[in-house]
Amino acid sequence: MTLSMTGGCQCGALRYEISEAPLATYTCHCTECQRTTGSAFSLAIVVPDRAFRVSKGEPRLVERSADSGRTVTRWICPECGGWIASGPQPGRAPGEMIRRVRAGTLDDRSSLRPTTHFWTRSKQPWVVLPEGDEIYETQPG
Amino acid sequence: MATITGGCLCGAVRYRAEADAPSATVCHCRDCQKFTGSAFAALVLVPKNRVTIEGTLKTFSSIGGSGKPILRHFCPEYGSSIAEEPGTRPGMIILTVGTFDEPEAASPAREIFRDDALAWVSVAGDIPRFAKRPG
Repeated sequence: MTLSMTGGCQCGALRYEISEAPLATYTCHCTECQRTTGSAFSLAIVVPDRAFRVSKGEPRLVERSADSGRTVTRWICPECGGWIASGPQPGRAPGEMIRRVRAGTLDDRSSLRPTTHFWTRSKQPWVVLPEGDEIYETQPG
Repeated sequence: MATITGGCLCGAVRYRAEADAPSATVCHCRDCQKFTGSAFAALVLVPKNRVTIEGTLKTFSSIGGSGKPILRHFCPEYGSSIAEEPGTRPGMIILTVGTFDEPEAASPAREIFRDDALAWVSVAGDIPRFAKRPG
C-alpha cells in the first residue's frame, strides 16, 4: 500500500493529501452521521494530524456537539458542502494528535476495510457488518 | 401512500413528501460516495410536486454514475446531503434516507452500480442487485 493518499470534495474545490498509513478505519452509525451523510453510516479513516494536508482550497470550519457529548469541528467545502475531515483531536497515545477523514472522499477507496463499527444501536437493520469485526453499541470511553 | 418527513443535521432545512411505498435504492456509484463521504447513498425517488421543502438548500451540479448531469442539494450550514435531481428523471427528486426522521421506514429494494461497491459492503435482503443501472 502506498503511503501517499489523496482525496477531495465532490466539486473539486477542496483537495487533500495524506502522507502516512491510516491508524484505523471505522464506520459510525450514530444518528448525526446518518443525517449528515444522508447514508446509513459514515465511513472514516483515522490518520496522524501531521500526515494530513489540505493541498487546494479553503475549508469552512464548523463546530457541533456530537451524540457522545464531545465538540467536533468539521472541515467542509463551502461550494459543495462536502465534509472532508474533522479538525485535529487528541489521539489515544500521550501528545498524539489525530484527524478523522471522511473516507468516501478518498480518490482510491478500494483498499479500505473498516474493522470497527460504532453506535450500532442506531444502525439500519439492512446493513450487514462483516463477521468478526469489533462492534460497539455506542462509543467506548 | 406514505408520508416522509425529514431534514438536515442542524434543522435549517426540513421537508415533507408523499411517496407510494418508500422503498430505497442503494447506489454505490463513485459520485454518490463523494456526495455522502460514505460507502454508498440510500435514496428514495418521489415526484417533485409531492415534496415540500422549507429552508434554503444550496445546489451544485455533478456527473452521476449514469454519465449524465445530476443536481446535488445540501444544507449550506453543516453540509448535510439532502436530495438530488438526476437529468435522467425529469419531474422527480431523490431524497437521502439518512436525512429521514424515520430512516428505518425505507428498506432497500435494489442495489445499483454494484460494480463500484466497496468489497466489504453488504446489504441484506433478497433484492435485485445491478452491476450498473437497470434498463
